[in-house]
Amino acid sequence: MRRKRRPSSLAARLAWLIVMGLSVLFFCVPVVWLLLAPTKTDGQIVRDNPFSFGSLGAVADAWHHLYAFQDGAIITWLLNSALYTFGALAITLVTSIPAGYALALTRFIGRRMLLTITMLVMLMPTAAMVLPLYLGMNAVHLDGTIWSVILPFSFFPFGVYLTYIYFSSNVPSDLLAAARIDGCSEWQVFRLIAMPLAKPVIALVGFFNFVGNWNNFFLPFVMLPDSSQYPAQVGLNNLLAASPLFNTSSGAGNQIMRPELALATLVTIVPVLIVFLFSQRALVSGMLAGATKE
Amino acid sequence: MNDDVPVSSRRRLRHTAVAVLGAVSLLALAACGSADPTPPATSSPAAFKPVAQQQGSEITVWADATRVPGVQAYQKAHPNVKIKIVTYSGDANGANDLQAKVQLFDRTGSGWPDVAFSANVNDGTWASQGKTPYAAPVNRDIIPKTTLDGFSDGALDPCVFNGNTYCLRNDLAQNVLWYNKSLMDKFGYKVPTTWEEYQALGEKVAEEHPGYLVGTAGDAWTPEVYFWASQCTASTTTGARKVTVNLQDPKCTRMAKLLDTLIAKGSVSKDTVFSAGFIKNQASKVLMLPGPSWFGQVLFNSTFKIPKGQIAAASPLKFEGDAKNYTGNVGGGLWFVSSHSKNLKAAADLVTWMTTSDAYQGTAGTYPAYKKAAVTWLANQKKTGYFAEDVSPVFKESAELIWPGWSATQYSQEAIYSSTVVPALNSGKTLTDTLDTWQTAITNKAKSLGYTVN
Repeated sequence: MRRKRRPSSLAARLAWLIVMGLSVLFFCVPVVWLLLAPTKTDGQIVRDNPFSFGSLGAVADAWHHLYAFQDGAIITWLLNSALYTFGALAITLVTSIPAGYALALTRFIGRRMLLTITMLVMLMPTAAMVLPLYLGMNAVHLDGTIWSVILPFSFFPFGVYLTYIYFSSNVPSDLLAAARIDGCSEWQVFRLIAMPLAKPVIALVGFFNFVGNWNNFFLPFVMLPDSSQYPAQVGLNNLLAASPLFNTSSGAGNQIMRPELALATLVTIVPVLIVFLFSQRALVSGMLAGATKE
Repeated sequence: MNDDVPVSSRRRLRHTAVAVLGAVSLLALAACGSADPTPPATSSPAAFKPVAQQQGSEITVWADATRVPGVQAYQKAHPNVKIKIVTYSGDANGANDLQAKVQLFDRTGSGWPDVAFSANVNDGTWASQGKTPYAAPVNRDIIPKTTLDGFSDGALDPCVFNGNTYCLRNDLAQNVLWYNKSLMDKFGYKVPTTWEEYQALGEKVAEEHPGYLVGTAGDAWTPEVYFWASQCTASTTTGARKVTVNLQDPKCTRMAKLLDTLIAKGSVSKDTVFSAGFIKNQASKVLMLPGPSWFGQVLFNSTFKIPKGQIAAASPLKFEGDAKNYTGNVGGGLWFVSSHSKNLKAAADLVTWMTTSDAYQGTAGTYPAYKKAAVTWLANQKKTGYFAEDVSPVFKESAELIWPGWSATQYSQEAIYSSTVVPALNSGKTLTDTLDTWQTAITNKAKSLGYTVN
């Protein structure tokens, strides 16, 4: 049955469209500018229309300048970032998924206490933990090694809590009991029943962990003493500080200008976009998990 | 207590309360840590005792990306010296990475770089302080006096504390009066030699050629360009962590009035020279611009793209009532040798080479602080053919004219000016109106860092 549309609902729809349109503009315009920036020379960025397209040749030039910065340091930074984030991701998944499962579907002494602590640690700002972590890593002689970054990156209470919510609301304990009656051991119940059902939450935990760690600046900045160990975010900071735009003491003739900085930013975003595209479907279903109870 | 609450819920509440208390205590402990752990105690000149030296041991060098090729060149020229090069921000653009990291190393007792470059000319203020200052006093048998004497007069002032020299200066950023010779000739103007003539010409330009500029007051380094040259007591240290700040001194107010007049006339901009809007619309209309020596290549050539043969430099201006002309200084990097270094000899040799050698400094981007290297550098500048006239005499003269009454402080004058004065100017206030607010901001910042202000 078609209902007659009232004028007030039309006005509401129009207002909604305007608000959404403005929001899209607000968020998309800077991204469009960023995408167009490397196609222009530095002079064109300053003098031309902000949304004009330069040339693909300019992108190639910007890449050559960027790549020439400390003999391809950008590649080293990206490889380091990949090493730290994927290393941490593996440890996070191996630890947080079983932990969330155990908290949700098994009963043991101190479970509630553990859950509360998980929640509290989740609320603590990570930057507040950096100094104690540095001193801790120094005490066990791990400061300056890749482990001083990978191990704190792997500590992901949010992942544990997310998994806990998922298992406690989506997987009925009767299902697991049935598997046990059929002769499954606890390990088999987890591996053969719980894990296949947990794909969306694994993707979700993995994605959040990956993005958070890929974009983390402060921890690797504090922990790593050697510029050859820098991940992309710390490297970008160095790149910025090397540009005459931000560092007048760098003198003339430096090639790192606005197009190179914009290109470097885009290059470091690409891995996050790829991971997002691959985990997109699982992410949506994971995010809705536990939203309703039937 | 509510007796209706079931026992399990009460237990849960108790657990939660304990956990919350724990977390709050942790945060409180973290907050109790001092934001500025550098102890205010100063080192006495006799206190420096090197750590046990290991001849031939590897030295770690921290430098910014601009200086790293120089360190690599040193390594190539000295293959026997073992060097580990670390690229970092160089404390450029207001960063304080070096201090933050040194404070961490102080806590753990290891990790200090043997040599560190800093683009922040104020870094000596903290590196020379504390129970064991990070910087070694290089004048104490680390670098010969003959080398230290080879620097321009006053160049090492930001390194000298308690009678010791804690760093070597990489480059100078002495201010000169930049002008566009082609435009000046075209308009028939004579280059001023005094601030009074400068003001008169600024007023004339505003009437005869509106839109053309003789200066800017929106740059972070405006205090160093105008107020330092005016011998304003905005930053005069009178002892260990004692500073005089008096912006109502006639030598401060005279410059504020001068700039206010020209801002009102429109020939001094409230913008900064590196803003995209300024580069796009006003760069070609800069008739004169008091500013540091690096403006020549970095600003006029690379940023403004002013063609060859137009830009020239004149001597710093003088007030008619003063006996001589003084100028200020915008930046200039520092090289530190670590007091914790196990190979002071190698560290000192590298720092000496980086600051004094013709091979590196002669072709560097900025004016060398070491006099002999500066001669080579100026000859190379002449070869570029960019300037309308040889800038050598003016650069050499102004390097010796830096007013010694403006001291390096642990806080940044530039940051205070940018956050306090520039917004006030843009809201329509005059510099004269803002002097009190500006003074309060400097005083508060200085006090927060343990300075006694008078």
